[in-house]
Order: sequence, then structure tokens, then C-alpha cells
Amino acid sequence: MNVVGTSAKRIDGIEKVTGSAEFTTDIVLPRMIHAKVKRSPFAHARILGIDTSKAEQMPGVRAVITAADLPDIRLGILTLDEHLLAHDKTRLVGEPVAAVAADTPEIARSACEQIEVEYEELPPLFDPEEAIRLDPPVVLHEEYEEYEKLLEIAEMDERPPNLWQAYRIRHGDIDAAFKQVEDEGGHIIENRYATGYVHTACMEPHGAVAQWSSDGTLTLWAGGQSPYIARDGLAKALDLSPSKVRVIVPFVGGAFGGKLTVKEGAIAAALARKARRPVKIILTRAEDLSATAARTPFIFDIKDAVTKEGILIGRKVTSILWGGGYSGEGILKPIFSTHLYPGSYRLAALWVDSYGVYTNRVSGGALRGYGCAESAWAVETQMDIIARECDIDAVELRINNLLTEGERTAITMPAHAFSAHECLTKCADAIEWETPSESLEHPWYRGKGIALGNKYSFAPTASSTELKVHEDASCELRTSAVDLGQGAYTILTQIVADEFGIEIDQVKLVTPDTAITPFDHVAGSSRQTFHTGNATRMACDDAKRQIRELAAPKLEADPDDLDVSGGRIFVKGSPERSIEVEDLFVVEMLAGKRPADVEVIGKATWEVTASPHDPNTGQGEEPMAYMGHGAQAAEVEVNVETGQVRIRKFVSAIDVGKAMNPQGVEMQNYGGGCMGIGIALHEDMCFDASGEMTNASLMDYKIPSIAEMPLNEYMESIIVEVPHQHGPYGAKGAGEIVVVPTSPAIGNAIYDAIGVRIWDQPLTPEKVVKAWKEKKAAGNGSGA
Amino acid sequence: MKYPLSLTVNDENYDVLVEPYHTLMDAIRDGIGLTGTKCACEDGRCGTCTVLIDGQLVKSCLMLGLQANGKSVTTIEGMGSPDALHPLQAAFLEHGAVQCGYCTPGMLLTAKQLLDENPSPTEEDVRSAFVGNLCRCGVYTHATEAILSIAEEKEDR
Repeated sequence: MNVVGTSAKRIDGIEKVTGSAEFTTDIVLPRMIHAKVKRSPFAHARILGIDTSKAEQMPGVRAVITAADLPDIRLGILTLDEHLLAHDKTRLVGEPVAAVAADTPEIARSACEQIEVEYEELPPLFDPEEAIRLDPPVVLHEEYEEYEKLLEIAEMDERPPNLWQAYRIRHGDIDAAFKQVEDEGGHIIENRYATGYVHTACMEPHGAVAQWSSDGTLTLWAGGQSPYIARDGLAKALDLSPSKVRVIVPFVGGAFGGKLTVKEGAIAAALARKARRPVKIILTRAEDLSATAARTPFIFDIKDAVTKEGILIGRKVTSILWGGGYSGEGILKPIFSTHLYPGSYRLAALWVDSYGVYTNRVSGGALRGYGCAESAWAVETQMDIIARECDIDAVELRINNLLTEGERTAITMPAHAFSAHECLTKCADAIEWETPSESLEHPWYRGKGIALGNKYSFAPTASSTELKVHEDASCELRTSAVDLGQGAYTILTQIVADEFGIEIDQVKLVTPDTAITPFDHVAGSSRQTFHTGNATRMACDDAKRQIRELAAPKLEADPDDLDVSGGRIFVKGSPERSIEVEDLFVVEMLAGKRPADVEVIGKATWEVTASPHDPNTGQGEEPMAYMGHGAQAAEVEVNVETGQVRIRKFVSAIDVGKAMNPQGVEMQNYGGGCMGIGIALHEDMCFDASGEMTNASLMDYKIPSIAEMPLNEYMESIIVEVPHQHGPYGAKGAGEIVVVPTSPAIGNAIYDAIGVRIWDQPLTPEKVVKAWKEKKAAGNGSGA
Repeated sequence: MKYPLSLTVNDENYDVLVEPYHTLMDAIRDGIGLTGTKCACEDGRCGTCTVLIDGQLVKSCLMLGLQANGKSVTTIEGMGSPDALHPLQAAFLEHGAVQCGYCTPGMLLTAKQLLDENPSPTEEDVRSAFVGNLCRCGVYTHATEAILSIAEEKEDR
């Protein structure tokens, strides 16, 4: 039976289409009360005092907490720089300062307004290039040197006081590369690019429900991306042993990197402990957009050395990640963003200085693509510029610079299952790259653009699963992998069905609950199919081994000569010598055997180790689990009078190694493309001079609607399958690569249409019109 | 102070007490306990809380609960059941128009209202019906495909 590789319908689909799927927002417990958070109105302020007495006296208020109610512990992913509730300073507008639990959300909100906080306003710092100075006008973290840090950053003579990340790549002889190009009259191409403020804007806002048992165990329901990261974060924040924390993940209404930690869950837990009642916290849309981690901007300065023949031989990059008040989940972005500097290309010399700095804005977090989508904007726009400078076709130029299977990239990643060429050429064919776009009537212009992309999946990492075989030969997979909508539960179910030769409806999935399901690192970094998929296959193998050993005496055969499939155990080559899995269990149970003989639970851990990169050189052995490839192309229509950009046609070609569920891959291609279109054209968190977000609603922070999407006949999904040696069935992940090339493909198409470059995302109508007018003013505006 | 609200939801009568500031969405979710109707934006943009009142689309976060007194409301729970899915529910599953599922109830009710009024919509009709429903997973292409597949089936008959 081949279930893997078919477009099996999602196993959680019936619940989702009938409204019975229970999300965190839907959970109701007996005696449950509701939490609201008091947030800082200032981007930078010292807290002189907090008076909660009025709030505490309000009818219906059950608990009020401030930092004084919590252990004095700093939290973070790798640099521990943040208190759960502001301790002595606030460093961004919206930082939690206090919290209230009350009988209704309305009472809790009113009570928050009654909490009086005395602040001493401090000058805020918003400009990342000011922030990175050795003598910045403002220092956000005076005690930085005392913070616990779990990651070594690059050595510096003197650390700029607002800097929290520094990473270098020193590969090849960079000076020689630039000298060679200068001597032979090649091209030196230097540009500055920037990305914008983007929010995950999941349809389900952040939230949690917390309940304490009488034995001091905390149970938290939260739709996060990793129950174990959540468990450990809660334990740390509340100074508990992790064994005292149980995290259950209900249905998750989208995550995209925004639900790695559950800070609001920890606040709910602290309130629940004080109130001795279950506490539910659901952030309002305004809180969700303005006060949870965002994809904060990067600034990239790129200088390339390109031979006359269009071969890229040297690249120098300086980048700054515009971090917020805390390093947060964005801590590794200055490192991971560097993966795209070589990308899929051969680079003799690469020199990178990559930094992350604090500013008094929203903290940097993860968002689908984790730094790679940002650096792709710079790198793949740059490739288009190089192609035009060298007068070489943009697809051909890329192909001429591609690595080949078995080489290593300039950051020492082996180019394995290297499919960039195939993704690129299939994508080019689908957009009819050789055929120029039709001319339209002024003010509309049409053009095509293309871009490549990569997404590396991080290591070291591990996934464990358990596979219990029931008496009726059905299988129960216990996993802490999380289905965020990407279809992980369905793919893992397909694997079990395939391995046991049973129907999909004979597989039951036990969804994440740290009291039951074993460790899985995270539903992130496109890792679920690859890592949890491998662990699932291995757990199936382990369970089948146990079954063969139990069956061997009954079939008078060696366990190695037995096979398990379709609920039967049979002798290989003699299928008539077989017994039912069912018989095995019943007989043993009636005989009163030891549980070990009647309970079959396969267990497995899949682990990928990695040699850490030296932060001073960016060089190592095999830094990541695998390298994904994809290409996207867009045909756009630009109105030079209004600046409107319509995506006429969109093609996404990604390599998934093996399409475990082809329809699922198509959903990623279209869905990722949709998100990528929004990020490229209009998603933009805006801030006023005080540092407050001014468009914190879905009315004003514009995620794509159906109106921004091309007509169905102009959407094309292409699946490339170049198997990875370590992937289950050869599979690689698909969740992030689908947003990596989108922005540069669109930006390059705009250039093709009207001959202007816009360097900073998003490519809004205002910027298009401005760039067009500047081009006209320069006397070069006769048309595209 | 809470006031009595009587309404019909999915052909069942309910008498609940709601605050005057509670929205219809609050009344359905918290008062009646039908949580298939979701809350996402709170300002009417996203369509996640869409219900039908006497056959008309209503974003239940934009209507006060007490305004629905005496009305007949259809929520996702009234559209079909696991054993008897509405053809649109089956088509959404078949065509991959469901990812995280949070916006799905609102999308399905929007699609139902569209097909109830216009059994053979064009792609443009579907697109204009859906401008009020946001989906962050980006199922728009597949949702359009799903709806048009039903429309075509009706045409075939």
C-alpha cells in the first residue's frame, strides 16, 4: 500500500470544516477567569513605582501581579535579557508591566486602567545605525555584560553597547577577488537594501489557558509551535521544575514563527497561581500585532565582484538586524540570514559582518523563512542587477554561477540534493521567460521577474516519537510535532499507514501533550516532515521488530524472516504462514503474560548533530540539517500613475525531495506565495514618533486578501523532487522556502515593467510612483 | 446588568442573558457555547466570525447580541455534520482549501451564502464575495477552486 506520496485528505479536516476543532480561544474550564495585561505606553522609561491597590479593590478582580510577584529571572532564547513583566525599565511600547485576572475580560481591562504606574521617561532610540555606534545616544541594557548568554558572538575590540549579536564570515581572499575584477575591467556592484516590519498576523491571536493542580503541577493549553520549548520557558519563568509543567497544544490557528514561546501563557499561569482559579488569556488583535514579536527590518549593504563574463567571485556584506527592546526569538537571525549570501551560488570569496542591535521598538521574532527571506530580497535583486549590468539573461547568469552536487557553499554546507537548476529552469519555462510581456496601454506596464531561494533547516535538533500497536492492529502515533495548518499530522499519519500497510483511518494520532507525547524540538525551520518523519519511520520499525519477536515462536520462524503488513505477520516468501496481529495480543493477554509481552510500543529518536560555526569565520563542518531549494517567478502589471502593482501570474517551483502529500505541497506553494506577495507589496507595521504602532488592526495592517491574488489560471505550483539522502523517503520540508524568493521575483518584475528599483520593502504604491517620477525627472522616463 | 436574549441558532431556540455591550459573536460563543464561530480581528475586516441571519451574511463581531433578538442564525455548526457534510465542506476538504482552519467557518458560510444566491458564480463572483474574508495561510486559490467545483456540478445537472 502506498499512502505516502498521495494527496490524502487532511486528518483534522472534518473537525475544521464543521467548527468542532477546539482552539485555545475555545477552551472553557470550570471557575475559569480572564486575564488582561497592563502595558507600557512609553518606548523607554524607568519604572519608579506601581500602585495596584485600586485595581485590587474592584469587584470581580481575583488577582493582580507585577514583577514583584514573580521570581527575579531574566528570560530569553539565547541571551537572557527580558523579564516576564517589566522589572525596572520598559524598553518598548506595549511591554507588559502588570496583569489582572478577573471574572470577565471587561473587568480585567478596567482594572488594568486602574493600575497606576509612575514612569520616568527616558529618551528612546529607534535608529539601528545610531544604535550600533560605539557611543550611542542611548543605551538600552546597562547590565548587558551581566546577562546569561548561551551563544558566543564574534570577537570585537569593543562591543557597541546596544549590540547583541555579531557574526562574521571569512571565506577566501576577498581583496584578491575585488582586485582581479578591477584589473580585468569586470563589474563591482554595490547596493543597499532594506526589509520592512512584518507581523505573522495569525488568524488566531496569541493566547493560553492555565490551571494549577493541588499537587503544584501547572497545566497550560496554548497553541504554540513547541510544547517542550513552552514547557521549559514556563518552568524557567516561574522557577519550577519542568516536570511540574504540562503543556497541551490544542488546534493552532496559524503560527508562522510567531508562536515559539508562550509569554502570555506564563502571565496567565502566574495569575492562576495567585487567584487559585484557571485563567484564560487571549490577546486582542491590537496587542497581538503591536506587542508580540515581529519580523523586524534588516539593512543590507552588499558589494559584489563580478567578472566580465558574469561570474560572481567575491561578495562583501554588512548587515544590521533592527532588533527591538529584547533579543527575543530573533537572536539567531543575523547568523541564519547569512545562508543566502552564497545561497546556491559558487563564491570564491565571501566576507560578511552581520549584527543585531537593540532599539526601543517591538522585539524581533521569527516569521517563515527566519532571515533567509529577508536576505534573499537583497541577494536575488542584486543577481538581477548583475545580469543586466553584464547584459546576460537573468536565468542564464544564475545558472552560470550555480554550485554543483557535492561542492560546498562558502559557508561550508555540502551542496547535496542540489536542485536549484531544476527549480529555476522549470519556473522559467512556466512563466514563459523567453517571451517578453505584452505591452499595455499607458499608465499600465507589464513585466516578469524571477528569483531563486534557499532555506536551511537548523541543527542540532532531535525528534522522538512513540508508536503503540493496538490489539485491533491499529496504530497510535504519539508525537509532539505540531500541526499549525501545514499538514504535519496528515503526513505523519501517512507514514505510519505506509509502514504498517494499513488504511489511514487505522492510524490514530495522539497530539502534543508533554505528559504523554515525547520530545520534539519545534514545528519550525521546515523540520517536521524531515525530522519527525524520520523518527516516525524509526518508531514504526521498532514496533514491527517487537511484533516479529512476539510472533516468531508462534510461526516457528526467525524474527528476521517475518514481515508485518496489513494487520498480519507472515513469513517472507511464504505468505500462507501468517497470523493476525490481533491473535498475538489476545492469546498473550489471556495467558497472563508480562505487560512487556502484550504491549507493543515502538520508540525512536532521530537526531541530527551539527558542528557549530565559528562566529569569527562562519566556517565549520556541516552546519545545518539540510538545504532546501526553490524558485519563484511573477508577472506584474504596474500602474505608474497610482503605483498599484497587480500580480498577474505567479509560479512557485520548490524542491521537496519527495512530495509526501502533493496537494499539501501545492497548498504551501500557493499559501506561501500569498504571504510573500503581501510582504513584498503592502505589509508594513507603522510607528509614530513615540514608538507606538499606528496600524495595529487587520483593517490597517494589510495582509493579502483574495483581491491581491492572481486568477486561478495564472497560479502555478511546480513540485521538484530531488531526494535527500537523510530525508524520510527522500523528503525535505516545504513550509518556508515558499516565501523566500517571492519579494525579489516581484521586485525584479517591477523593474522589467517600468525600469525602476525600489530598494526597501514593502514596494508600496507611494514608492512606485516616487521612483517612476524620479526616473522621468532624470530624463529617462520614456517607458519601460 | 444582563438582559434576556431569545434567538434561534441552527433551528434550536436559545434563551440567554447577555450584557448590552456583548456582540452577537460573544452571545454565540460564550452565551450559547457554540465555538465554531471564531474571533480574529474584532473590527469586521477578517470575516472569521461570519454567520448567516435569515440568510444574510453578518459579521457577528459588528452586531450587538441584543440586536439579534428573535432572529434566526446559522453558524458553522448548522451547516453540516461529520456524517453529513454540506457539499461545500466536502469540497473545501477535497480541494485543499483548509490549512490551520481558523478562518474556515467564516469562509464556508460566505461560500454558502454566495451559492444560495447565485448557484453558478463565475470566478470574479467568488472573488468579490470573498474580499471580506482573510486567511493568513492563503487558501484563496484552493477555496475558489472548491466553490467553482460545486457550481460546475450544479450546472451539470
